Amino acid sequence: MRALRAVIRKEFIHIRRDPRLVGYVVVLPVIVLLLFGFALRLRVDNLTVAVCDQDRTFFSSEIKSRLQQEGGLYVTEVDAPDAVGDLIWTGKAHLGLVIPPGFSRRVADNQQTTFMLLVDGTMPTLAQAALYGARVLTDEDMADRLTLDDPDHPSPAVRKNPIRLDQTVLFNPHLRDSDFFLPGTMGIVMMLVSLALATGIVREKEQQTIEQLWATPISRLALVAGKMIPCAAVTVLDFVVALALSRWVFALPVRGSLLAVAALAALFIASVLALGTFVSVVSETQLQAHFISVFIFVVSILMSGFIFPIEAMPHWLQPVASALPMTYFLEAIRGLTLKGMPATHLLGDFAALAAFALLFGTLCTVGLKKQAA
Amino acid sequence: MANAIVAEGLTKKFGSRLAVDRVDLSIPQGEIFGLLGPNGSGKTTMIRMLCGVLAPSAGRAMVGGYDIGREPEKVKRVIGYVSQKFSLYPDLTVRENLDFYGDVYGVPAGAGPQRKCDLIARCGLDGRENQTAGSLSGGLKQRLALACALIHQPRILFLDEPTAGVDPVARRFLWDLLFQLAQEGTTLFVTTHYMDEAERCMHVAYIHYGRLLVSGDPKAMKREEVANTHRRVEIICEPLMPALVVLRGAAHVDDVNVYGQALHVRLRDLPAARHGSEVALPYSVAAVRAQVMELLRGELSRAGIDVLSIRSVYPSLEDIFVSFARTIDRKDLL
Repeated sequence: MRALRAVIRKEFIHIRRDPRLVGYVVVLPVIVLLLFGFALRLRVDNLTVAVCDQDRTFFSSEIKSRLQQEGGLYVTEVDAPDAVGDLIWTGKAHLGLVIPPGFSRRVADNQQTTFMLLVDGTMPTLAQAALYGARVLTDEDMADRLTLDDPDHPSPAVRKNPIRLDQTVLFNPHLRDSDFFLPGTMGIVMMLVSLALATGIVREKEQQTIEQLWATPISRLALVAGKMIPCAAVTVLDFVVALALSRWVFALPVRGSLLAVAALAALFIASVLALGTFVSVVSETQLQAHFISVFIFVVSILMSGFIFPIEAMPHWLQPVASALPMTYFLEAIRGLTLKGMPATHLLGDFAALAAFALLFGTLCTVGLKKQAA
Repeated sequence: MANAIVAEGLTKKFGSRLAVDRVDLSIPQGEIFGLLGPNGSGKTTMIRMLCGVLAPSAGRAMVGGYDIGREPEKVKRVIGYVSQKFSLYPDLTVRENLDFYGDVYGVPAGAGPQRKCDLIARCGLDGRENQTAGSLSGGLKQRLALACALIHQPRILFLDEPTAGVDPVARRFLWDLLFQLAQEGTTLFVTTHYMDEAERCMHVAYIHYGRLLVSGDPKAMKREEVANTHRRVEIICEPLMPALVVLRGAAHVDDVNVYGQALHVRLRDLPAARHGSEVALPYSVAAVRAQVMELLRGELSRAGIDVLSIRSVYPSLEDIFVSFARTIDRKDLL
């Protein structure tokens, strides 16, 4: 017990006296949270559509203004149909539309006209956003507008879609991207801090101070626990800061119990720290440990559902997501903040995180050898 | 008196390389034992095994009455270890390092403060309690390492090259401290490169390529060498380096080393020399030596070297060990 207390005290001194760690622990988390909160957006606004209007009538300008106002696209006019392709090729436009001559006449004759629509498919997300903006060309509203009010020639009854949707978006009614990203960003911040702090054991190996420790009767458990507890304390502080920023700067709703959120964070920190410490135990140098940690970090961002849905991953790769603590944290924290789920519905995630912490904590202790072979 | 350290056939293999080869040792309580040997001869490996941080490949050893293979954690309670490289926390102060090791060893809370004060005073660290360990000079770092290794009052203390890179004054200070500890009954196991330090030990052993070659009281070893052969000759001559070449090729010379402005020559086994053609009777050692010395003087003169003085000298411990190492190397070459 005394040895454990001694290690804890010593680790706090290391953290306090290392100026780089202070930057890592205080500055970086705040920057990451603010950056991610402001910058991570899936919705794309202000894409440019190059329009070659060969009709130049009231109807064609109606189309252009609707693209701009309701489609959320920025319209650039070009003279020749070829120029449309050029603008897309040079990246100045993401979408190209050619309105053929005689369009208005065909409207008057109640005939359908085919428009050429070009999309830059380099970035599928942008392409989909552009196409989503272009849907205003064919919706019901558009059909209403493109009619001639001629009492002598009443237009045939417009064929309406048999189904009309009255949709409600649950949990995030305004579909705010920050609500989607912030819960995960809190996890990212905690991972960042705890993985950076968990290099204590490999640092002792590199400084060869561990050799001196192994010549003492200290127990491996006291060393591992003594290293992890101060890191956990610091990471908890970062979690509180991250939660406060999410709440007050980005108005993230916390609809579930705050106690459950705290318990979830504690379990997540324990599992990530145990994982980071295990990396530290199996590495020989700090550089090695950092590389492995960065790998874990990147995979956790990309494959946990933080940005890309796990459902979108190929089936054979989905087990990777189940091997990441971040996956369980994300599922549970989104449930607790956005959906206001009671903790009892998330016990599976809690249990998974606890299992991670226990497994890697044990591996750390067993993996350390006081007597080298 | 019981032996503090006993090793029987202690062996360590790293892959196919034998770092320590079937070493037998027994060191009584309260003795200063000096282990000498060139770099890479297995000194550090020996210490690491005896401290319980490295598992032996074969053989066994008892340290403080505990088996290093079976009860390494019990060994660790009765030993102190000062490793070769400074291995305390550079960002912790002198006091914080001492506090940490005091707690790790479980020094009783009542005895702790007084003991730390004593150690700080004894190791000459007073006034530096709040300085970070990393900012201490080499000698002071070494003393802090010693203080931390003594915090639990170990019966046995291992020091791995404690004076490497430490200035002479600091070395003297450290050795005075070690003598005090030995007088108080602590057993000291010291590795070193410095022969003058070895001569201060009560018992020395020489390790070479993992094999323990000689072991004994340094004074007795010197006396033995003197009594047996007394084959050391000091030659002062000009120029020195050509003389070295001539002497290394001479018939009666076993080994030549440069000592400042002089050459130390170790002659071949003298009684055997009487069977040689050039040296005749009478064969008292002193007379044969005198004849050989004259032969060498003649050889040097013929090579155009000016011999200023030639006299017989007592061997230093260094002479003994250097010639040991040479003999072994030569055998390895054959």
